[in-house]
Amino acid sequence: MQPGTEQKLQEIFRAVLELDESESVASLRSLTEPRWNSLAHVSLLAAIESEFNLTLTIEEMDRITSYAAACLLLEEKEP
Amino acid sequence: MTEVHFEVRVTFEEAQRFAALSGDHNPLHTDPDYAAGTTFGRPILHGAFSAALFSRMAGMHLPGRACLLHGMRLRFVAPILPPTTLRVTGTLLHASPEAGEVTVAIDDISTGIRCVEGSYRYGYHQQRESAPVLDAPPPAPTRHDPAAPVILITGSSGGLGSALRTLVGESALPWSRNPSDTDLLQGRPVAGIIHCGWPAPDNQRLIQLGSATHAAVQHQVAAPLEQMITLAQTLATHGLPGAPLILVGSTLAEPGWHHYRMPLYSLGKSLIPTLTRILALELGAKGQKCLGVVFDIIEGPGMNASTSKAIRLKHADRSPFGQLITTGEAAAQLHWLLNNPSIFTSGATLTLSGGMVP
Repeated sequence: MQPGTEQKLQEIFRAVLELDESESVASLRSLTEPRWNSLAHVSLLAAIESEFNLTLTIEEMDRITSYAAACLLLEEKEP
Repeated sequence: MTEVHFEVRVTFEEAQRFAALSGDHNPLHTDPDYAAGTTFGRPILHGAFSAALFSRMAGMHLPGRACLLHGMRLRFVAPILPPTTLRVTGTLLHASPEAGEVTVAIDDISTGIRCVEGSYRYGYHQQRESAPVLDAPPPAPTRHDPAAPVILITGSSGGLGSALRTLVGESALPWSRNPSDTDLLQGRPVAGIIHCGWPAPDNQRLIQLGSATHAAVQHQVAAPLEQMITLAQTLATHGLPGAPLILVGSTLAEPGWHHYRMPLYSLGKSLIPTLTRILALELGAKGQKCLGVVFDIIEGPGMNASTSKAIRLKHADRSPFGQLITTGEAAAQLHWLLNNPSIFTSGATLTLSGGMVP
């Protein structure tokens, strides 16, 4: 992953899910994070598309089930 | 194909002895406090220890006594963390009167994870006093009691079947998933059958099968059904009272979970819950059992090994525990069910996915 990408992604997750500084982003999963609801999910997708200048397919949107999954997806989409 | 395997127990003390022998006292291998501060958390086994196991395979088994090792290649896929037990498998790729080549895999039995894979090439040395004798691979271990009950395991060369074979030990008898000649039992009674063997997923959409429809349905649905029925017949004829037939299924076959890329595979596996109930009724009349066990993606060697990282992560993210079951853990659960004497498991299809959500 390119330098700065992961930091930007963490900032998106922190902002959308309103995480405290003390909370870990790396272990976030939609299944176990109550603040990751449908509205937050859409916000995450929109923020990722906007920040990284991407258009996600339906299949790619479905893949973002955790922070780790989002990292992997961005890695794959890097030029 | 000639295949030989042996098991090795490795402890921290043995790693220390290897350090003394090789002079490699790197703290990653010898100092628990130092290793605790690394990503591994505890000392890992020297990579050269694995090379020594390759040497053992060559000098003692393939080709054995007359061996002269020409070279070896190793790839360290995952760290080996003592104490644990390793299974070393050598497969003869080709051999001539002058030379040969063997592939070797080292798997951690407790986790089912493949740690090392590689190969070596060998020739033969000459012995001055007498003509060299090329050792054939040693015969398979003979059973102490020719009348001892056996556990039949289909798919025993796959990841799950192989791990299960190790757990079951001497009484394991690899069994073809195709209708088999029961003369191979040599009169030994069957104490259980675990059916892990299954054709690989088809990856074809039903509406695109065209002229291949009959053959594809036969291969992915009809043949597996016939195989399961034949196994039930084998158990009914040769099985001990209380012996189970355990059919290994997949979450892909559960309602709402079927995979659009593997429709026939999903359909074939979806037979298991209903077939389990039917066979439970029929085998129950003989005091025998039938049960189904369903796993999601299994982490480790086997059919699921080629699943992409993205798919594995997606499945792990659906688990309350955030992880996939390992080959070793899946085999341990099957082994536990094999040894569970209760008749009340019969007819059940157990989904062992740790509460994974669809």
